[in-house]
Amino acid sequence: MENIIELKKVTIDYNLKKYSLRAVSEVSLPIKKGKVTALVGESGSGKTTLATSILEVISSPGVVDSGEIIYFGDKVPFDITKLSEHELNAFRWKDVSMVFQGAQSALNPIMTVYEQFEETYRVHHHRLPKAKLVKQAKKKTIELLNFVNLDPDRIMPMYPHELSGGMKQRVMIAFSLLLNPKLIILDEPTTALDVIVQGYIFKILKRINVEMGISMLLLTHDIGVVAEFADYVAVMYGGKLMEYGTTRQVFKEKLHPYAKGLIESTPSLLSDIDQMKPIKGSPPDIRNLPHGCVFHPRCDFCMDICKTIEPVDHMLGDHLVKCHLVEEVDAR
Amino acid sequence: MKKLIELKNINMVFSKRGTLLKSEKFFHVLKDINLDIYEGEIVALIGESGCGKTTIGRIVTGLQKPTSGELRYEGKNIYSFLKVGQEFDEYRRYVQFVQQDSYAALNPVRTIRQSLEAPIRTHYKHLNSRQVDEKLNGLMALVGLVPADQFLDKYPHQLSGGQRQRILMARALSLEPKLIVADEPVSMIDVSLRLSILKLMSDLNQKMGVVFIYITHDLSTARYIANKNRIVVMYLGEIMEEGDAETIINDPLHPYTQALISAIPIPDPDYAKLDKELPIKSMEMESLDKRTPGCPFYPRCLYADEVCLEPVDYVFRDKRRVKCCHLDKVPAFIPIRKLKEQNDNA
Repeated sequence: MENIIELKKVTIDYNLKKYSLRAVSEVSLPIKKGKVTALVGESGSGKTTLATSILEVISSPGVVDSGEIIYFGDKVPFDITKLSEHELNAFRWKDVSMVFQGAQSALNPIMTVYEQFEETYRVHHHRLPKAKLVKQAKKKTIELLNFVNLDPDRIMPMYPHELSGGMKQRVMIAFSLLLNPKLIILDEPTTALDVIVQGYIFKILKRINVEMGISMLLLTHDIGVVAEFADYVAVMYGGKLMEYGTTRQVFKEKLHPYAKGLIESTPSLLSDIDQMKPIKGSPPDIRNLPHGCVFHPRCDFCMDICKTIEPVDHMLGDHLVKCHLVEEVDAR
Repeated sequence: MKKLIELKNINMVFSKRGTLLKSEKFFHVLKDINLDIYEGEIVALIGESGCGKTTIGRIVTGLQKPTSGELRYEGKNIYSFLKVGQEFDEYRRYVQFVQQDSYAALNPVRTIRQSLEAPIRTHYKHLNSRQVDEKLNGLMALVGLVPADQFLDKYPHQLSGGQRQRILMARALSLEPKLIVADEPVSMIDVSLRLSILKLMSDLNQKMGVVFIYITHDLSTARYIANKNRIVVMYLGEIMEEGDAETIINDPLHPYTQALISAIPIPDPDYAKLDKELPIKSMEMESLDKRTPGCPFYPRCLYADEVCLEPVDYVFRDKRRVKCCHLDKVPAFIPIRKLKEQNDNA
């Protein structure tokens, strides 16, 4: 299957005054065209840093140290990390857009919903004559707000504080579609919302994915949402990609102990309450990552080799697992 | 079982001050809440944001006085015996609160030791330093932070979210309370640590008999912790359904509970791909100032008619109560497990 973006050995450092932190190390990840890829990880796992590198908007002082991010959406594939600031401005939002975490703070509080849509539209279509531009921007805004089931006449003149959390998030989703991007990055799009609204937002997102054919990269820590919504899953831990495969491969084969632990420790309406067990310990400090496999101090299947040698990426078909246990399966 | 806390006809009205042009507005945040909390149990209070669940928590802990109604502790009305300062302190000692945001709940310029010591020194004046130290060590062991010395002299920002949540739990336990109100204690911590905090709470409940009121919007964690206990479902300041946890989750009677349960994502791709239509009219909760005297769920309910505009009484059915006037009209809920079986057969 075709990729829309391919990350190749991407390493991202935060260069602080006294030392530098490696937030993401050598992550290679394909993002499939027209599919939903979920990037799962806890706070500090580097998932937001990795996703923002696609738009080259990593929060300062983070920089892509090495690696390539190839974008296949245009006629000729190109490396995003090599673009100039000018080229990046044209690329952002038009090719890849993002729905940021906390829609509450992502909208400008002193602009109406329509003004924000028009502003972005204007910047990307600055050659159009004004009258034509306003007409087009309005038409597009109405179309998109309708698509996310908001009443354009009511919403367009409103300020963000007049909207509820679910409505703001839907405005943000409509906003991300403004320039017909090929990929949308969704950073925890429903964390602050109630379950019923969450279900509804994902319904809309699924429609966008299927009807408009837009690829999505979903950043989340909610295993339930992943199972319901994603086609592919990438699991990150301590800045490294631990597992990548189809949702079914990751959830059913349960090859990586971390992904397995996450799935089995998530309370759900179906799970057997007495069988559930938490993952021991707590997430690693990226200033001081453990030697060998980053997950070994918390792993129930830890062997001697895990403490000293970092596992390589094992490919079982198209299913990537970074774990020494898989090696043993191979040997047999 | 003995009743520990009784809420009797509790009403809470917040007012928004008027201006020159606008008249004063009133918001009926809690309406006729009746709820008994028994010794030794865990009660999960569930609802969406704005349903009044946190307000109940604040009333139970004595942080907020209800507009009307009685709050009874072991049979005594709190607000009549609370006039005496000392007894009020006693009540506050027995009922403790664990907040959602563990970072905001701890003083950033105090070490963990200082934060934990303060309540102990206030309430147990007879203890000397060595005894206080012993007590601290005991508490830290209880919440699973060992060796204690490794944590006591740190500042809150040096600990992880899960560790801070355990510190809050230790602080709540330090005065040997009978009841702890936990307001979304796991919603802000990492997924891999949530289960261990929930486990800690149910262990404390079983070993020490501490009663928990677990406030959450997440039915899956509520099911885990209140497993053999009770779930209370709230909507716009009213209790819509209350009963045994497994019964409510497998056979919810109220249309709102049914919608709430159907909306929860199932972490299993086999179930996830089933297309579930939410049995609800609109996604957003109505605002409080538009409520009618009747059923608060009326505008979103699929089964509503004019009858629902009149005040609704509770219906008692197999050990639970439901506030709905059309129980016979609401179809039986199909649990997701069954839905999948039907789907597989088809």
